[in-house]
Amino acid sequence: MTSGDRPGSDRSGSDKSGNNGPIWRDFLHTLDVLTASAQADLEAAEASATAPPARWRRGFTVELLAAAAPEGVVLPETEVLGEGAELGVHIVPSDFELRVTLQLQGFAALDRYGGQEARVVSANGAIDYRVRFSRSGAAVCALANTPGVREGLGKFLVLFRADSEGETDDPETPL
Amino acid sequence: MYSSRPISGSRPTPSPGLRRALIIRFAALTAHALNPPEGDATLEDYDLYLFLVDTLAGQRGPQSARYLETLAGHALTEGRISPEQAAQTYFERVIDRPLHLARANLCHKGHELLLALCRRGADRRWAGARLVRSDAVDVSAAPADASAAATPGAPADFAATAARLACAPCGLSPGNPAAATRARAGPLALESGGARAEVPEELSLWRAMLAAPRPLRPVAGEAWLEFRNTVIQAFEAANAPYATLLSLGLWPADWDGALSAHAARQLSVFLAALREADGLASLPEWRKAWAEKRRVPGYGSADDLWRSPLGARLRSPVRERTVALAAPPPEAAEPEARSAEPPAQDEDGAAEERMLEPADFERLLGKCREGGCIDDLEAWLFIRLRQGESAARLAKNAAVRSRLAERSLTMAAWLDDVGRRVHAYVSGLMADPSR
Repeated sequence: MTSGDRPGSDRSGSDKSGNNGPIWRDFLHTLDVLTASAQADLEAAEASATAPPARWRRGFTVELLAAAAPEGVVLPETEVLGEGAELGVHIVPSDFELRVTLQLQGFAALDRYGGQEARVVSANGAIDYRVRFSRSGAAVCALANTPGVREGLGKFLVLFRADSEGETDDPETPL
Repeated sequence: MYSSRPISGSRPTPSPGLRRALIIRFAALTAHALNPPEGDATLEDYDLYLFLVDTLAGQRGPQSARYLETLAGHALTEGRISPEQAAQTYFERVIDRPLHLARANLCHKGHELLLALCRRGADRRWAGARLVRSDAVDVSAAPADASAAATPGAPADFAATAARLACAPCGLSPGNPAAATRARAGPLALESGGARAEVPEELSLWRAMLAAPRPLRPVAGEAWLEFRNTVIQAFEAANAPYATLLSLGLWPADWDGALSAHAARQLSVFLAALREADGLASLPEWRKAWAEKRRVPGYGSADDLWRSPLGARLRSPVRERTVALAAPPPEAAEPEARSAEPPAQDEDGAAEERMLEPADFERLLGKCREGGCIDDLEAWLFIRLRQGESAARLAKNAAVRSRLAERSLTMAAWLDDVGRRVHAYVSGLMADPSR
């Protein structure tokens, strides 16, 4: 065994055989990173090439005019209408919960989305909630009353299953 | 995958590298998502969130199922929660986890991710962005109106980034070394072109991604490698505590806060000793391991641990069935490498190792070639990967295609196979330096 073989040898130096424990560990680390990254590259390319059908399609984008306050985001207390005036949003806060009622407005929205499974997703990632609209177009989300959720309610999407056109169901129960 | 540190006398276990390989892969995939080609639509926050969570839930192609099972650890929930809930748990506890400083570092991997993203802002003035600590940071200098360009010389969208940083949680958890660092060196700020904005001490990876300028300038070559490595290191650091609990067969949402990072590592060493002696269900073996100084902080004796809810869980037959997912972390093989007084929370994860410079990597790869564990084509492949070439592009090379057809392999499987052979060769080299 030469001096360069011992653990703790200078990482940058090596003996003629290159048997230097730390540098070989770095080599294996580099190899592992390159292997995993290459596989991610292949995965990304495959996803891009095959473009599997989206599971969710965008229904509505909602941006509420929330006000910043020392205690955090203050949400509107009256019902507001989302994109295209086809979705009403009403928020009722309590100590621990924010009860968000979504109501489809107008025949076109009701016909298209009534009875369907939906997913409410906020831009900040704090809200990802599954719900089903009733035939009458109502859906209720019971969210935790936290700063992140309040911030998230300032801007969120309502997505619908891409494969659920025409499916309907009655209960307003969360999924 | 493969083991680089043979543990003499141990029973065969899933490779310690499997979960680590997957976090690297997931991080690299995220880096791709953060680097759309020029001309593509700007990545919206929703799109990035849905990409992360749906990939973790196994809903983005056949490859993504492994992220659900091995990264998120869905199997450990024993069917109690859905894949979507498991993915959200991982998102909340890893990607949106408030990060702490490690030891005396001035910033953590989440901050470094923020900086790397800012330096890719479309406004070229972002290229000079930096992170500074100074008592001179004036938080009131951040303009209230995100549309106002307050400082000449600063990027046009600096105020928007500052506003998004201001929305991130800005508290300091008990035990976070950042309190002492802040008292000594001042608050942390993002600075560019004379404008400054305070950066939350416990910024998560997700909040770093949300705060980044829009759009981002695409990167390629060495700049892409550097960015991707920053993302990988950030995810490895954020993932470490979650992965440690999974490696113990514990579902993080059930055991969060029950074990410090240090206690989890010591428990891993304790369990490794029990597995070696096949003594997981034997109290005498627990006492023996304890007496051999493989103790777990927070418990007075082996009997205390045995009687505790944690002890009951560790002995659970269900846990044993699912522990195949939970390969022991590398630290479990080298308990003597741990310092006597580890920090309260170590965010560095696997930051001990580093990426070799291309010349050193090529030299050692050459030794593997001389040793006969890889051939010229395989050495060439990894040299090109180290230079930043895309694997998808290399897969189209005629020689590569011919090799894959000849061996009936996919590119991914071939890369794995090369890695296995190199690891086995280097392990032999390190075990027998006379070779």
